[in-house]
Amino acid sequence: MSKHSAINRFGRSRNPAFSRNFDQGGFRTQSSSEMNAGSGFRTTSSVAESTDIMTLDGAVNKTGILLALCFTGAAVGWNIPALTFPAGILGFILALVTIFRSPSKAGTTAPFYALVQGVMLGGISLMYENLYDGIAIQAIGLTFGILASLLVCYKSGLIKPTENFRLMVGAGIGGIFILYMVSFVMSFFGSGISLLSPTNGSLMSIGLSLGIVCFASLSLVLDFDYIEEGAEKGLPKYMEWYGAFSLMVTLIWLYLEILRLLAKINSRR
Amino acid sequence: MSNALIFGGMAAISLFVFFNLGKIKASKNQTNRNNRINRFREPNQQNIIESDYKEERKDEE
Repeated sequence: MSKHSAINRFGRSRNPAFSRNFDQGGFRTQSSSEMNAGSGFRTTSSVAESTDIMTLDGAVNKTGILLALCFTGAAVGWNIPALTFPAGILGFILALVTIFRSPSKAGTTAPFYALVQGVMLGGISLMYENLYDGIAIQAIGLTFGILASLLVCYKSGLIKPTENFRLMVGAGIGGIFILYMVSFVMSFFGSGISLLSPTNGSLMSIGLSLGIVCFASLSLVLDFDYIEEGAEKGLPKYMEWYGAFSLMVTLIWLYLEILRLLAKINSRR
Repeated sequence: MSNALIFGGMAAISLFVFFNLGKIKASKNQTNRNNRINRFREPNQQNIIESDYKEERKDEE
Protein backbone atom coordinates (compact mmCIF):
# COMPACT_ATOMS: atom_id res chain seq x y z
CA MET A 1 0.00 0.00 0.00
CA SER A 2 1.18 3.50 -0.74
CA LYS A 3 2.55 5.66 2.06
CA HIS A 4 0.10 8.35 0.92
CA SER A 5 -2.93 6.15 1.29
CA ALA A 6 -5.01 8.98 2.82
CA ILE A 7 -4.47 11.14 -0.28
CA ASN A 8 -5.25 8.18 -2.54
CA ARG A 9 -8.40 7.35 -0.61
CA PHE A 10 -9.84 10.82 0.03
CA GLY A 11 -8.16 12.94 -2.61
CA ARG A 12 -6.17 16.14 -2.05
CA SER A 13 -7.85 18.77 0.11
CA ARG A 14 -9.49 21.68 -1.72
CA ASN A 15 -9.06 23.91 1.33
CA PRO A 16 -7.16 26.96 0.00
CA ALA A 17 -5.31 27.30 3.31
CA PHE A 18 -3.86 23.82 2.92
CA SER A 19 -3.14 24.21 -0.75
CA ARG A 20 -1.23 27.40 0.05
CA ASN A 21 0.77 25.53 2.68
CA PHE A 22 1.81 22.51 0.75
CA ASP A 23 1.43 23.24 -2.92
CA GLN A 24 2.46 26.80 -3.57
CA GLY A 25 5.49 27.33 -1.43
CA GLY A 26 3.73 27.65 1.90
CA PHE A 27 3.73 30.46 4.39
CA ARG A 28 7.47 30.45 4.83
CA THR A 29 9.94 30.49 2.01
CA GLN A 30 13.30 30.88 3.69
CA SER A 31 16.57 29.05 3.24
CA SER A 32 16.51 25.28 3.60
CA SER A 33 18.58 25.36 6.80
CA GLU A 34 15.70 27.06 8.61
CA MET A 35 13.05 24.78 7.26
CA ASN A 36 11.35 22.10 9.20
CA ALA A 37 10.21 19.29 6.96
CA GLY A 38 6.62 18.22 7.53
CA SER A 39 5.65 21.41 9.31
CA GLY A 40 2.34 22.92 8.31
CA PHE A 41 3.74 26.39 7.97
CA ARG A 42 7.01 25.79 6.18
CA THR A 43 7.77 24.34 2.82
CA THR A 44 10.14 21.54 2.03
CA SER A 45 11.44 23.18 -1.15
CA SER A 46 14.37 25.59 -1.04
CA VAL A 47 12.55 28.57 -2.53
CA ALA A 48 14.33 31.91 -2.35
CA GLU A 49 13.25 34.28 0.39
CA SER A 50 9.88 35.73 -0.46
CA THR A 51 8.40 39.10 0.42
CA ASP A 52 4.95 37.55 0.94
CA ILE A 53 5.48 36.58 4.56
CA MET A 54 4.78 38.40 7.80
CA THR A 55 7.69 40.26 9.38
CA LEU A 56 8.16 42.21 12.61
CA ASP A 57 9.17 45.30 10.60
CA GLY A 58 5.98 45.14 8.56
CA ALA A 59 3.73 44.70 11.60
CA VAL A 60 5.35 47.62 13.46
CA ASN A 61 5.21 49.89 10.40
CA LYS A 62 1.56 49.04 9.87
CA THR A 63 0.84 49.79 13.53
CA GLY A 64 2.45 53.18 12.89
CA ILE A 65 0.15 53.77 9.91
CA LEU A 66 -2.91 52.82 11.98
CA LEU A 67 -1.80 55.11 14.82
CA ALA A 68 -1.34 58.01 12.39
CA LEU A 69 -4.83 57.39 10.98
CA CYS A 70 -6.24 57.20 14.51
CA PHE A 71 -4.70 60.57 15.42
CA THR A 72 -6.07 62.07 12.18
CA GLY A 73 -9.53 60.76 13.04
CA ALA A 74 -9.17 62.07 16.60
CA ALA A 75 -8.51 65.57 15.26
CA VAL A 76 -11.78 65.34 13.30
CA GLY A 77 -13.73 63.94 16.28
CA TRP A 78 -12.31 66.63 18.58
CA ASN A 79 -13.64 69.35 16.26
CA ILE A 80 -16.94 67.63 15.35
CA PRO A 81 -18.14 65.86 18.54
CA ALA A 82 -21.50 64.98 16.94
CA LEU A 83 -19.70 62.21 15.03
CA THR A 84 -18.66 60.38 18.21
CA PHE A 85 -21.60 57.99 18.56
CA PRO A 86 -21.98 57.02 14.85
CA ALA A 87 -18.20 56.55 14.62
CA GLY A 88 -18.29 54.26 17.66
CA ILE A 89 -21.01 52.07 16.12
CA LEU A 90 -19.23 51.94 12.74
CA GLY A 91 -15.93 51.09 14.42
CA PHE A 92 -17.54 48.26 16.35
CA ILE A 93 -19.04 46.82 13.13
CA LEU A 94 -15.68 47.12 11.32
CA ALA A 95 -13.94 45.34 14.20
CA LEU A 96 -16.46 42.47 14.07
CA VAL A 97 -16.09 42.20 10.28
CA THR A 98 -12.29 42.12 10.53
CA ILE A 99 -12.23 39.52 13.32
CA PHE A 100 -15.00 37.15 12.23
CA ARG A 101 -15.50 37.63 8.49
CA SER A 102 -12.25 38.45 6.79
CA PRO A 103 -8.93 38.59 8.63
CA SER A 104 -7.34 38.35 5.16
CA LYS A 105 -8.97 41.68 4.26
CA ALA A 106 -7.55 43.38 7.36
CA GLY A 107 -5.42 45.52 5.03
CA THR A 108 -8.64 47.22 3.88
CA THR A 109 -10.75 47.20 7.03
CA ALA A 110 -8.07 48.00 9.64
CA PRO A 111 -7.21 51.50 8.30
CA PHE A 112 -10.94 52.38 8.20
CA TYR A 113 -11.31 50.98 11.70
CA ALA A 114 -8.40 53.10 12.99
CA LEU A 115 -9.74 56.25 11.33
CA VAL A 116 -13.30 55.77 12.58
CA GLN A 117 -12.23 54.81 16.11
CA GLY A 118 -9.99 57.88 16.09
CA VAL A 119 -13.08 60.04 15.45
CA MET A 120 -14.80 58.37 18.41
CA LEU A 121 -11.76 58.78 20.67
CA GLY A 122 -11.49 62.47 19.70
CA GLY A 123 -15.09 63.10 20.76
CA ILE A 124 -14.78 61.14 24.01
CA SER A 125 -11.46 62.82 24.86
CA LEU A 126 -13.07 66.24 24.37
CA MET A 127 -15.90 65.23 26.70
CA TYR A 128 -13.44 64.21 29.44
CA GLU A 129 -11.26 67.26 28.75
CA ASN A 130 -14.25 69.51 29.41
CA LEU A 131 -14.67 67.80 32.79
CA TYR A 132 -11.00 67.73 33.83
CA ASP A 133 -8.46 69.91 32.07
CA GLY A 134 -5.36 68.11 30.72
CA ILE A 135 -6.73 64.59 31.24
CA ALA A 136 -6.44 63.52 27.57
CA ILE A 137 -2.69 64.14 27.27
CA GLN A 138 -2.16 62.31 30.57
CA ALA A 139 -4.07 59.30 29.23
CA ILE A 140 -2.11 59.36 25.95
CA GLY A 141 1.21 59.51 27.81
CA LEU A 142 0.25 56.68 30.16
CA THR A 143 -1.10 54.48 27.32
CA PHE A 144 2.08 54.74 25.26
CA GLY A 145 4.17 54.45 28.42
CA ILE A 146 2.52 51.13 29.25
CA LEU A 147 2.94 50.01 25.62
CA ALA A 148 6.69 50.70 25.61
CA SER A 149 7.41 49.31 29.08
CA LEU A 150 5.52 46.09 28.41
CA LEU A 151 7.28 45.71 25.05
CA VAL A 152 10.64 45.98 26.85
CA CYS A 153 9.45 43.40 29.41
CA TYR A 154 8.27 41.07 26.64
CA LYS A 155 11.33 41.36 24.40
CA SER A 156 13.71 40.81 27.31
CA GLY A 157 11.76 37.76 28.46
CA LEU A 158 10.78 39.30 31.79
CA ILE A 159 7.11 38.50 31.08
CA LYS A 160 6.59 35.09 29.49
CA PRO A 161 3.14 34.48 28.04
CA THR A 162 2.12 30.83 28.47
CA GLU A 163 -1.13 28.92 27.94
CA ASN A 164 -2.06 29.57 31.60
CA PHE A 165 -1.29 33.27 31.17
CA ARG A 166 -3.57 33.37 28.13
CA LEU A 167 -6.32 31.52 30.02
CA MET A 168 -6.06 33.95 32.93
CA VAL A 169 -6.21 37.04 30.69
CA GLY A 170 -9.01 35.49 28.60
CA ALA A 171 -11.09 34.72 31.69
CA GLY A 172 -10.55 38.24 33.04
CA ILE A 173 -11.51 39.86 29.74
CA GLY A 174 -14.58 37.60 29.57
CA GLY A 175 -15.67 38.78 33.02
CA ILE A 176 -15.12 42.42 32.10
CA PHE A 177 -17.10 41.93 28.88
CA ILE A 178 -20.06 40.50 30.86
CA LEU A 179 -19.86 43.50 33.22
CA TYR A 180 -19.94 45.89 30.24
CA MET A 181 -22.90 44.05 28.71
CA VAL A 182 -24.90 44.08 31.97
CA SER A 183 -24.19 47.80 32.35
CA PHE A 184 -25.20 48.40 28.70
CA VAL A 185 -28.51 46.54 29.09
CA MET A 186 -29.24 48.26 32.41
CA SER A 187 -28.68 51.66 30.77
CA PHE A 188 -31.85 51.04 28.70
CA PHE A 189 -33.85 50.97 31.94
CA GLY A 190 -32.43 54.24 33.19
CA SER A 191 -29.85 52.75 35.52
CA GLY A 192 -26.38 51.25 35.22
CA ILE A 193 -23.49 49.88 37.24
CA SER A 194 -22.34 52.86 39.27
CA LEU A 195 -18.87 51.33 39.69
CA LEU A 196 -18.27 51.94 35.97
CA SER A 197 -19.32 55.59 36.13
CA PRO A 198 -16.39 57.99 35.52
CA THR A 199 -17.76 60.32 38.18
CA ASN A 200 -17.73 57.61 40.88
CA GLY A 201 -14.58 58.28 42.90
CA SER A 202 -15.03 55.52 45.49
CA LEU A 203 -12.03 53.28 46.23
CA MET A 204 -14.00 50.24 45.03
CA SER A 205 -14.68 51.92 41.69
CA ILE A 206 -11.06 53.03 41.27
CA GLY A 207 -9.90 49.52 42.17
CA LEU A 208 -12.18 48.04 39.49
CA SER A 209 -10.82 50.47 36.87
CA LEU A 210 -7.27 49.65 37.92
CA GLY A 211 -8.02 45.94 37.48
CA ILE A 212 -9.47 46.54 34.01
CA VAL A 213 -6.39 48.60 33.05
CA CYS A 214 -4.20 45.69 34.25
CA PHE A 215 -6.06 43.17 32.07
CA ALA A 216 -5.97 45.51 29.06
CA SER A 217 -2.21 45.94 29.59
CA LEU A 218 -1.63 42.18 29.88
CA SER A 219 -3.53 41.58 26.65
CA LEU A 220 -0.90 43.82 24.98
CA VAL A 221 1.65 41.14 25.89
CA LEU A 222 -0.50 38.53 24.11
CA ASP A 223 -0.60 40.80 21.04
CA PHE A 224 3.21 41.13 21.05
CA ASP A 225 3.52 37.36 21.31
CA TYR A 226 0.99 36.86 18.50
CA ILE A 227 3.00 39.13 16.18
CA GLU A 228 6.32 37.57 17.21
CA GLU A 229 5.04 34.03 16.66
CA GLY A 230 3.35 34.96 13.39
CA ALA A 231 6.60 36.41 12.05
CA GLU A 232 8.53 33.31 13.21
CA LYS A 233 6.09 30.93 11.56
CA GLY A 234 6.08 32.99 8.37
CA LEU A 235 2.35 33.68 8.19
CA PRO A 236 0.98 35.43 5.07
CA LYS A 237 1.69 39.13 4.60
CA TYR A 238 -1.88 40.21 5.40
CA MET A 239 -1.37 38.97 8.97
CA GLU A 240 0.84 42.03 9.52
CA TRP A 241 -2.31 44.13 9.16
CA TYR A 242 -4.21 41.76 11.39
CA GLY A 243 -1.51 41.89 14.07
CA ALA A 244 -1.41 45.70 13.87
CA PHE A 245 -5.22 45.75 14.05
CA SER A 246 -5.29 43.59 17.20
CA LEU A 247 -2.70 45.87 18.80
CA MET A 248 -4.85 48.90 17.91
CA VAL A 249 -7.97 47.32 19.44
CA THR A 250 -6.12 46.74 22.71
CA LEU A 251 -4.53 50.22 22.69
CA ILE A 252 -7.91 51.91 22.14
CA TRP A 253 -9.46 49.89 24.98
CA LEU A 254 -6.50 50.68 27.25
CA TYR A 255 -6.71 54.42 26.44
CA LEU A 256 -10.44 54.54 27.21
CA GLU A 257 -9.96 52.71 30.51
CA ILE A 258 -7.08 54.97 31.54
CA LEU A 259 -9.26 58.00 30.73
CA ARG A 260 -12.01 56.57 32.94
CA LEU A 261 -9.55 55.77 35.74
CA LEU A 262 -8.05 59.28 35.66
CA ALA A 263 -11.54 60.82 35.69
CA LYS A 264 -12.44 58.76 38.78
CA ILE A 265 -9.23 59.83 40.55
CA ASN A 266 -9.86 63.49 39.60
CA SER A 267 -13.43 63.31 40.88
CA ARG A 268 -12.08 62.69 44.43
CA ARG A 269 -10.43 66.13 44.53
CA MET B 1 1.55 73.47 30.32
CA SER B 2 4.08 71.37 32.26
CA ASN B 3 1.46 68.58 32.33
CA ALA B 4 1.32 68.56 28.53
CA LEU B 5 5.11 68.67 28.27
CA ILE B 6 5.70 65.79 30.68
CA PHE B 7 3.03 63.45 29.33
CA GLY B 8 3.59 64.50 25.70
CA GLY B 9 7.30 63.80 26.10
CA MET B 10 6.52 60.48 27.72
CA ALA B 11 4.28 59.54 24.76
CA ALA B 12 6.96 60.59 22.24
CA ILE B 13 9.74 58.63 23.98
CA SER B 14 7.47 55.59 24.33
CA LEU B 15 6.58 55.68 20.64
CA PHE B 16 10.27 55.96 19.77
CA VAL B 17 11.01 52.89 21.92
CA PHE B 18 8.08 50.99 20.36
CA PHE B 19 9.10 51.69 16.75
CA ASN B 20 12.72 50.73 17.40
CA LEU B 21 12.41 47.84 19.81
CA GLY B 22 9.34 46.40 18.08
CA LYS B 23 11.40 45.54 15.00
CA ILE B 24 13.96 43.58 16.97
CA LYS B 25 13.40 39.87 17.56
CA ALA B 26 12.62 38.87 21.15
CA SER B 27 15.44 37.42 23.25
CA LYS B 28 16.14 33.67 23.21
CA ASN B 29 14.98 33.64 26.79
CA GLN B 30 11.52 34.45 25.39
CA THR B 31 11.45 32.40 22.18
CA ASN B 32 13.30 29.22 23.19
CA ARG B 33 11.08 27.74 25.86
CA ASN B 34 8.80 24.72 26.03
CA ASN B 35 5.74 26.44 27.50
CA ARG B 36 5.17 28.89 24.63
CA ILE B 37 1.65 29.40 23.35
CA ASN B 38 1.24 27.37 20.17
CA ARG B 39 -1.40 29.36 18.29
CA PHE B 40 -0.61 28.14 14.80
CA ARG B 41 -0.59 24.43 15.44
CA GLU B 42 1.80 22.41 13.34
CA PRO B 43 0.99 18.78 12.50
CA ASN B 44 2.82 16.35 14.75
CA GLN B 45 5.45 14.79 12.50
CA GLN B 46 6.13 11.91 14.87
CA ASN B 47 2.54 10.67 14.69
CA ILE B 48 2.56 10.62 10.88
CA ILE B 49 5.67 8.46 10.84
CA GLU B 50 4.17 6.08 13.40
CA SER B 51 0.96 5.64 11.38
CA ASP B 52 2.93 4.96 8.20
CA TYR B 53 4.98 2.37 10.04
CA LYS B 54 1.85 0.52 11.20
CA GLU B 55 0.42 0.52 7.68
CA GLU B 56 3.55 -1.08 6.32
CA ARG B 57 3.47 -3.76 9.00
CA LYS B 58 -0.13 -4.59 8.03
CA ASP B 59 0.99 -5.10 4.42
CA GLU B 60 3.69 -7.48 5.51
CA GLU B 61 1.15 -9.62 7.40
